[in-house]
Amino acid sequence: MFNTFSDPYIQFAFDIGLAAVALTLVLVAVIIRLRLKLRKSQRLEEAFIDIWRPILLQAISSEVMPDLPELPASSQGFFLKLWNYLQESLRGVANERLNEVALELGCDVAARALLKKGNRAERLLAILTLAHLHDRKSWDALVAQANAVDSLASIHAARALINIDPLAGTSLLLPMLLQRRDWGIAQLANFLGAAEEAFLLQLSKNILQMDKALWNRALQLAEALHLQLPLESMRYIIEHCDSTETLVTALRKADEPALLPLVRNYLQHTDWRVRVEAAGFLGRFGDTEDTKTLKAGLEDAQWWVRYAAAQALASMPFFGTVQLLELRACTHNATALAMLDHVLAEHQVSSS
Amino acid sequence: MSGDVTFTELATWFVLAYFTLLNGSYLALNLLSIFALQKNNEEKLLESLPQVFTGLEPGISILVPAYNEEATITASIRSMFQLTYSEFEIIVINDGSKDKTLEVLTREFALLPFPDAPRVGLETKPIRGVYRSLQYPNLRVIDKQNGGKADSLNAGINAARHPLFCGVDADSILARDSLQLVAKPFMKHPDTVATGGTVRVANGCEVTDGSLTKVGLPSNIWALFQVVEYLRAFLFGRLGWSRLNAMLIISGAFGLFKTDVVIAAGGYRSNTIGEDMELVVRIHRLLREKGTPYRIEFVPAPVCWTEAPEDFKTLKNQRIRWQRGLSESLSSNWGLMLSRRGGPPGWLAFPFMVLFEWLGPVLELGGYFFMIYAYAFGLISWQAFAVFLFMAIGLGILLSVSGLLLEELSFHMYPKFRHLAVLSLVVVAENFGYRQLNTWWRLVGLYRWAAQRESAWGEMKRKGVGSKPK
Repeated sequence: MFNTFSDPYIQFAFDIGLAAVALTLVLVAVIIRLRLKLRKSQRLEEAFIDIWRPILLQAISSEVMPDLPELPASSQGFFLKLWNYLQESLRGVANERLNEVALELGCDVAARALLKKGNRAERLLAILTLAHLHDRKSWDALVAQANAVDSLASIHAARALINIDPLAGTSLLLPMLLQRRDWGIAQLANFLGAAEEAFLLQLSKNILQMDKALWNRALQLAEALHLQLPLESMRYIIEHCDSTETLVTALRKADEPALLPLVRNYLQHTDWRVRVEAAGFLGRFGDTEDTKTLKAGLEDAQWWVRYAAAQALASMPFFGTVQLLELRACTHNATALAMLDHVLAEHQVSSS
Repeated sequence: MSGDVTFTELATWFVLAYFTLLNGSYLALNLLSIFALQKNNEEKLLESLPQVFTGLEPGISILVPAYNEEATITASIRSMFQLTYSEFEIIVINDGSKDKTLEVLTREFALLPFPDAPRVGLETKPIRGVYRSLQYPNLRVIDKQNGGKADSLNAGINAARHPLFCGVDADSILARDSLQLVAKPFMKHPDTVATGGTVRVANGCEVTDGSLTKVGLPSNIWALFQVVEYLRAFLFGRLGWSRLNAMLIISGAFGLFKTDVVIAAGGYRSNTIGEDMELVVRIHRLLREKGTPYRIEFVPAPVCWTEAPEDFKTLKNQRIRWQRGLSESLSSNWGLMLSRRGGPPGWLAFPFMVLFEWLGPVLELGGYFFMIYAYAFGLISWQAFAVFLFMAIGLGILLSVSGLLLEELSFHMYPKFRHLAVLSLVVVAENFGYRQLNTWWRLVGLYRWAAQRESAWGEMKRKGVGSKPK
């Protein structure tokens, strides 16, 4: 029977309990400290914004640079946050005015220092700032950041490099833009838009020489930026790609009527995703002879192919509602009929 | 040393070791969560910048299963139209409601019958009709025979037109940027197949037109306990596991999935109560078996607010159901446990769930009963008994406080010092009875699972969080 604290069981349990209580008290103290720190920081930031927001807005709207108060080092973080927020919200001349203010206050120097010695949050802030400032002096440091494993820091560094020099940036970054799957297409499209001519140039020049495995992502980027790749490149990719995903993206991206004879072959492809894109293409560029294959597509085993075929028929300029109703009248297959009803009703809803 | 004493010693060591291991594991998860939140905090600056939609975001079908929701469905759907996202549709699935849910929807959203071409990817109860809104082109309503929540979600998946779908409860209150936040991992990592966000307790908050306008704490003690529980469950339970790509639960109240992956996995199981957890565990199991690279990620931002039960009976029933759901999810995916390709889900999360969440009630209550028995029969001294309680409750409080710390490190959703003070009291108080009661309910759930009772929609007594608290 355990009677005293000399028993190892009781001592063990007591020690654990004591450690738990001690840790709990420490955590409570940390929570209170964090809350007080947060309050103080919020108060300081609000006071800072009250002073600086009108100044920055005045700088944006007037021809003459307003008198800028001194920016203490302790408020630099608040300034850069506010400044970056305005930079991201505004376009054109406003960005240039904000840059003039930042340069006047020595923010370029401060951002370079943060990029070199700051913690991760400060580095991110510095990268954003240097991107807006088009700071050439940071080129090498930003290249190093773009090569970093950190997805967020690297993609923002890539953005900064492209902002600074679109041609050199896209040339340097092309392999990474295509290889780094942790850089989201939507995010890339967001800033590559500003350098789309340079990017198109690099892509068109290199696409047929690059590894076939990169074609899909290259096409996705071209699609996101609405870039038109050379016809021969598209034809080559469609004919020679060895992945279904690439073929699907290529057919979705295909925007040249000259590809029609080639694309027609894919309406009978074994993968339904390819059939869907082929039907979509025929809807955009097909002629009267394609209505026959599209009608056959209405009986496809895959819902999405039937839907794409019906949509394609409905979108052909020479195949309107009247023709769809005629087609419906002579269709006996139940699934094809259901799909025609569906698409007819959709068109009715969208036109009402 | 007699045989009795040896047994008592062994049992005492076992109880001590179990409680220490249980709480130690939770604290380890807590540490993982702190690292994740720190990374999240470093990125807050970027989150606070104006967000631009490129139109390249993957479209989302929001699936809203509704059973007897005539009172709340209109406000819920209207608030969903306020969500900020580039491309989404809302599909309400009326699961054979006995009230006027369908009539209310038809009246409020000008619904008309629509000849939807049927797409049967997943088996469901028969569809009685599909309706489309004249006012909102991205709203459809599916009226079907009653088949339960899982069956309704499957019907919604069949009708979904987008690559991602999001299952939400009809009474959930979603943050305006919720879709944007939970969809981000899909854009960053093409391997992402599912994401879940933090669900918080809406009781005590102010809600206007289906949107949360002011965060507050409930006055009801049961709801208060649940505020702390949700903090703990989401901020360090799921976030910690997510760091290891081993999160086994995405709340049914709000989760985003890749539609084709779920169809390939067979959709939701309609014969289970915990359909949300079962699906996630099954996705882990199937993708691991195939060796397909994938990610299931947790987004710590509070994206969804839900009304927690405020009465004893509803809360008890909910917890019993949850434990049954957990039991079904684990038992039907046993192949993941310590499997060759199981990785962190099979080698860490699954065994953890089995040992601490599934069998936990038996071992925890067994521990309490054993200590009471040993003390009553003079096998251990009162000091030993008191020290055991001191340890168990001390560790419990430490865990609860650490949940509060994570909240303070991250989102500060409860802004006033008064909130902090109340929550601090609750994290202590919940360890004196409420947690033990919860363990008892879980034990009942375990028993009912073993007895194989039928599953059904969980009935919830709603007070409503649509108005300012008095």
